[in-house]
Amino acid sequence: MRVRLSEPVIKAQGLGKTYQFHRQPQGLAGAVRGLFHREATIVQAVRGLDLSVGRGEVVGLLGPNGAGKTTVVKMLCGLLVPTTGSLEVCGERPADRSHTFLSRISVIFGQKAMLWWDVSTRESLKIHRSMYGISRDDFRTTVARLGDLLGITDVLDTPVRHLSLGQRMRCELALALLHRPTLLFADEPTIGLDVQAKVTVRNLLRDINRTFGTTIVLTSHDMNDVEALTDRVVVVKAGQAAFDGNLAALRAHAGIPAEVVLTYRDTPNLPPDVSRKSTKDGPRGIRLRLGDQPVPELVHAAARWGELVDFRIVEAGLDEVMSKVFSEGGERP
Amino acid sequence: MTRSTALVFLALLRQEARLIAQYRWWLPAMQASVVTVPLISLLVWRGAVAHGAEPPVTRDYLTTYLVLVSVVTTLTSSWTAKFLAESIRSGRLDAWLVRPCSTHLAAAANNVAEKVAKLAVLLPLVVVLAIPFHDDLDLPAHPGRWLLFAWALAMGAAMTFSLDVVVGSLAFWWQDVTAVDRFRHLATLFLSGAVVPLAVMPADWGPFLRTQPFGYVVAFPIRTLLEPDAADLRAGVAAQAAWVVLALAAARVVWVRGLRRYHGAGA
Repeated sequence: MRVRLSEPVIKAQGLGKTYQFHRQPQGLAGAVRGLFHREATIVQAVRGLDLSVGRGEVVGLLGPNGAGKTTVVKMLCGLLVPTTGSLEVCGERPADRSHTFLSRISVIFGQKAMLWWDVSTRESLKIHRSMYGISRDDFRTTVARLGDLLGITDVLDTPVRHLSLGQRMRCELALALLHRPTLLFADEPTIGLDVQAKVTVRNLLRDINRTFGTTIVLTSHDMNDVEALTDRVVVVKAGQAAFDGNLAALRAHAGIPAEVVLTYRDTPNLPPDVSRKSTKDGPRGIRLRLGDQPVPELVHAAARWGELVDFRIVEAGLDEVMSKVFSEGGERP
Repeated sequence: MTRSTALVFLALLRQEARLIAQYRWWLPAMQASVVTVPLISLLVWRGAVAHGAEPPVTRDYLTTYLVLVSVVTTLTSSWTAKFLAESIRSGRLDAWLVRPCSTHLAAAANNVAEKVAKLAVLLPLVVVLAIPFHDDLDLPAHPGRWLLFAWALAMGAAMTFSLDVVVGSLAFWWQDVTAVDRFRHLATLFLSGAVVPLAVMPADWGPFLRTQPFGYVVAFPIRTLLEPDAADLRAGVAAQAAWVVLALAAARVVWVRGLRRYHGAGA
């Protein structure tokens, strides 16, 4: 079954996942008791999650640690079998792990290597060529292109164990993209990378999305990744989708007012009420929450406090927005 | 096996061969230890016979068996269980489950590549071992017997590999499968004929030894070269095939059921 362009790549309804495990009692006495009696605990990691992702979208799946986002991703890529609900990805049931399904997806685990450790990246790519049935000509062209894009042409023949973390992550990306997947799961793709490498990876993911229409599901704790890549974010909290929309809507949802940064030629002479509400921003600058007061009135007032040389309105950072959204009620049951 | 699976298997096989080539001294050292146990058994048995012991088989049978046993043990062994269990426990299995290729195909490629390399090192050692006893070696000349030997070896290897998958897959349920794996290895060592030929075990044990599966991993392949009775061999081939089918089915059932419980530990 082919995925129709108009159909969502991911369709999840009422998705749920329950884990059962045995609690480890505390202390030596507890451990001995545990030999004879074990207490089973059931945790509902995901509950009633609805999600629809269209072809070519870049969606950020975000949430605090333990919110259930990794479990969601693992169900989407067929690693875990959902306990409840229906799930269709690329027109298939992921848990069936059919050859067609696995040929259409790709996963980058920031913390788990897909490359073979003791051989070169080129050798790993050759194995994937066989697995995904890529023709020799296509393979040569794609490897050359990915090598250029990712700046890894010179290290393709170096054993993976001798690569730096940044080089390894770029090689992991090359391996993940070799077969031009319809859907790419990127789990912390920039973890551990330096600033320059992070920018390279983000640009590449953007290029891949634009050039091939690859749908990308991103999970990351790096809000710069989220801001640079995603059109839409889904915030998972306590196993449910607590928010689904674009970044502007997320900022509005968080309700954190923008700030005004005022820079003066000399130290300003602030009225006591402004002094209380403001914070310092450099030796001659102050930062104020932008309230209901119209901006022209604020500029007019600010000009009276000293010789104003700059005036900027700053939106709340995404880290701050996410922190606010994550902390709003809804603890794990 | 489809053509695409065969191509992936060959690619994995090449990869494994390249990896094995990096461990230059490990193979000779390991194979020297493999040949040592049968050599000690051979010397002990021949010493016992020289001092008047009367085993239920001839000296030729005993010598030929113990010269061949290291080759058969190497070719029918498997070491997947430990690695499979660890990948399930640590969540490293994720990397295979998202690829359109079974982790067992990779394990089989590793198994075959390593056996080829081991055999290349082992054969000269076996030849050296055989030289002093060449007068007592009694090997058949008929090619049919060697074909049957090859078939029995392949079946024995398939059975061990399947049992390895069963034991390794228990990690879907248990934290540690080392004890089960150790018990299985002990049972294989004792009941397969790898240390003591089954033919010299007490006659009362005969029905049990003929029925239990481990004898079809080592003792039976050697019997295909040494056993003169065709009816006995036919029965053995049928029993071995039945055990292989059972082991394959058990591996499939345990693996499929286990996958449903997989948690993919770690982020």
